[in-house]
Amino acid sequence: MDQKSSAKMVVYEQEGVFIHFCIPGSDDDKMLGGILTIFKDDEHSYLQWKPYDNIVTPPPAEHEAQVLSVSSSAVVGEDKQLDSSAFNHEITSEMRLPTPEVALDPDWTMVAKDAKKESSTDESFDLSMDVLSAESQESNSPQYTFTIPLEDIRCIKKSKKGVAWAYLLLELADGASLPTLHFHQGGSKKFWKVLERYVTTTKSLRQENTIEITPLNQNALTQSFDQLNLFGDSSFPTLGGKFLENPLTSTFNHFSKVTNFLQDFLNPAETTPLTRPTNERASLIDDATEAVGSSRIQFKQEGEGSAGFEVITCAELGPRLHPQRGKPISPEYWTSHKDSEGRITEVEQIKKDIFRGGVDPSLRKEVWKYLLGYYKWEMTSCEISELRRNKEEDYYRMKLQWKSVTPDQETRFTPLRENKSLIDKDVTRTDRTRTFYEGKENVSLKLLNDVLVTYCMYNFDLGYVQGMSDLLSPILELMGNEVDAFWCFVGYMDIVQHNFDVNQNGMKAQLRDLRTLIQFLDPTFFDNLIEKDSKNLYFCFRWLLLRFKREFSFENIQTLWEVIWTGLPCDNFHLLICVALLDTEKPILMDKDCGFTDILKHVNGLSGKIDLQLTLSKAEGIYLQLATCQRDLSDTVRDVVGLSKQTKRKQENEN
Amino acid sequence: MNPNNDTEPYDYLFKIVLIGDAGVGKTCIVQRFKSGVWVESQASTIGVDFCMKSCEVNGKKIKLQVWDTAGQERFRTITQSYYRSANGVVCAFDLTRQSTFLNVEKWMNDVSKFCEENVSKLLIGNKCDLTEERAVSREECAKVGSYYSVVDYIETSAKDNTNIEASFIKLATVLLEKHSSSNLQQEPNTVFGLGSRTKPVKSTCC
Ligand SMILES: Nc1nc2c(ncn2[C@@H]2O[C@H](COP(=O)(O)OP(=O)(O)OP(=O)(O)O)[C@@H](O)[C@H]2O)c(=O)[nH]1
Ligand SMILES: [Mg+2]
Repeated sequence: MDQKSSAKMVVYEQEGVFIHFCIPGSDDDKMLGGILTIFKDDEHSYLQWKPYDNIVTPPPAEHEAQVLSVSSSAVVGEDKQLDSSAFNHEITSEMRLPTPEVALDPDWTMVAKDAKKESSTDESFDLSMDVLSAESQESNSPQYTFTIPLEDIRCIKKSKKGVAWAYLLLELADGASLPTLHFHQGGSKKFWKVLERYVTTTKSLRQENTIEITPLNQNALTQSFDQLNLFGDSSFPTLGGKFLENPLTSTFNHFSKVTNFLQDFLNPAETTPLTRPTNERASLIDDATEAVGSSRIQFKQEGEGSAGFEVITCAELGPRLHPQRGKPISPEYWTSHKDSEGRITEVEQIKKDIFRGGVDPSLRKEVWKYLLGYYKWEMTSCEISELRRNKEEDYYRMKLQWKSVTPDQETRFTPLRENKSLIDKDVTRTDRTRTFYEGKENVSLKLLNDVLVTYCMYNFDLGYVQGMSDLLSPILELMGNEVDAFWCFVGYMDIVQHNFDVNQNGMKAQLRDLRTLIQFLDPTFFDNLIEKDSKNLYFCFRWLLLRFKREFSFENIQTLWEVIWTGLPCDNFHLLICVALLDTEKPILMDKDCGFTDILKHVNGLSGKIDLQLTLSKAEGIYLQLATCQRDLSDTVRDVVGLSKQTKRKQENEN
Repeated sequence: MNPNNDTEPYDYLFKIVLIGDAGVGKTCIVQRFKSGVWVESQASTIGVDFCMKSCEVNGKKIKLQVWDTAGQERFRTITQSYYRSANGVVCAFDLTRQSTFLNVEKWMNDVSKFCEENVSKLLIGNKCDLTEERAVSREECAKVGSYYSVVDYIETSAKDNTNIEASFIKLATVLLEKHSSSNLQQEPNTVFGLGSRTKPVKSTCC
């Protein structure tokens, strides 16, 4: 039956519905965007998905595009494992884009209802995605369109809340699954609304997040999936092995019925919605069975119960290492890294060693000035002396600016007055239990105040925000004088000032990045946070704003900060520290009795009880895990942990 | 884990959010209420903190979950998220700093935006021990209080322990009356209006 011949009425149309593919032998994978429609003719209603006219390749795609092939039963040998070498064939780039003519010509791959009965005898379920039909060999236009009567859908599994976009897994009456439909541009809600007009939907009692579909027309049940010619007809094996190396081929081979290929989306990928988190890509290479197992998609064979698919959702990471922490760098070490004129040599190595073990307390006062960018590593002693003279002058000039504002003037200078008042409030509340700041008339309080007010003059746009006094306090105590403390503080604020932005964008971005990491590294934990209404991660707010200042002892926070200031192994190492901390507390946080408030309470209560070295080692271990499967990371994750930068740098070096 | 360190049964649990400008004494008030101590140099609150305190009102065991929020303007987006499902709000200002009193308006606007409509509000003028430095008159405060239809306006001192407990008891009493008269008798150990389920959470998919 030609669809065009009967009156077709589209009742639902949604663009940006994607199918995701794995590409064998390649590090990237593909998505095929398309339009999902529900339309009806006189008798039946249909669900159709039709690809746009080209394949979306997630950037950066340096490899040749390869097109997924889904086999028909014709290609699939019984239980035979596919030759691994067969996976490595490449499809030439000319096949990447279909010609516009083909794209414009809607190819309704419709089910010919009357033709069904004859073909329904084939036991080996014929689900074929026609990669290259006869004419598309010429046009290079893969036709993946599928159309199925709504009655043939037996149940639909919905994505959980909180994934980057909704996706739906449709299981057909005969137990087969359709490719997972990813609603990159939304529209899944409406899909339900419309669907409900044509079928009866009931919540499945057997399976979470699953809706069972009862057809209004029972006769339709007799249709079988293989009659639907889901993916066009199968003039397909003509290309020989070339397109059949796909793991999906072998998947079908092993599980002849179920074709639920790709899966659940764990990654927020908020910024790059077209990039599929590649960690979920099947690691397809040699063994099809393995590929299935390791791709976090489990196919269950028929007979195990028809609701048998299960999506396994944990990141595929290698084992976590526990890197050794080192000793703090010693005074001898430091002196040996200065040349005769006082320049610091082997800076990268020094940073590595500081990252590994911190700095000996006797050296901190000097080393911090370098780490915070007040002194430049390449400066000679003479240059440093000169720099200090200038910076001192600079500081007192700015200090004089506010000092010379009279109280009368101040009454008409609200911003300054307000900043000063806030600072005043905080100075009396900062680290007052430490000897350095203790007591009423302590001069250190005045220093703390003066440095903070001067910073307001230095950066009036930002002004004073609560939390800054916490960041300054250890620096001031270490430096012991306001000039050095001020310039080190300026260096520190340069790193973290966005956390204090008026619109809080900096904090929001940090929380988002942290969320990305958790979601990727530990989806189960993340789901748990969602359940507990804590996915905004606000309970980490203080950690992030104060760079853990309130969570560690004075001694430990110094070590922690100098480690972070090395910028190793990535700028967001502090986020990995958060992940490490949460990982340690996970058993408690995931307890069913630990709800929204308890999470906050517990996290706030960790202050002073955290093992610093263990946390740093764990954070580094997590970083190494990510770095090892670098190419499998989504761009978002890669960006967060600075791996994209590295890749780029490497490439630049190579060129 | 037992975050509250007391598992004693209670008849009602009310969530109370403490708001007001930075430095007005919110954390000191909570500390005083919770443990009866006065800590002069309490660190500024970053984000939120909370504590539990039980009390008895009209023979009922009431548990108060007090949320101490940061007063800093910039953190409001974060703190506002905790307003949801609060049964009561304590809005505090510093009697010696007029600006904190003037900002009561801002805070009350937030309350009407982010709290449930029927939330009970209490207005507190703190630091009443500093009589010399007082910057707003009691009449003014009471007037503003009634404008926002608070259940009461109370002057407190966390330092001298004036009216701290009384303020919370007052709010608890009102909440108790409200909730028992509305016939919403709760099972013991049932969280009242707390958690995520009181308002339908916007679903992100399907
Ligand atoms: N004299 C006097 N001082 C008080 C009283 N309550 C608080 N203070 C002081 O006010 C300052 C601020 O108190 P906090 O409780 O930290 O203020 P807060 O409202 O929690 O401030 P944020 O956490 O920044 O929002 C502290 O230095 C206290 O010593 C009071 O009743 N009398
Ligand atoms: Mg506070």
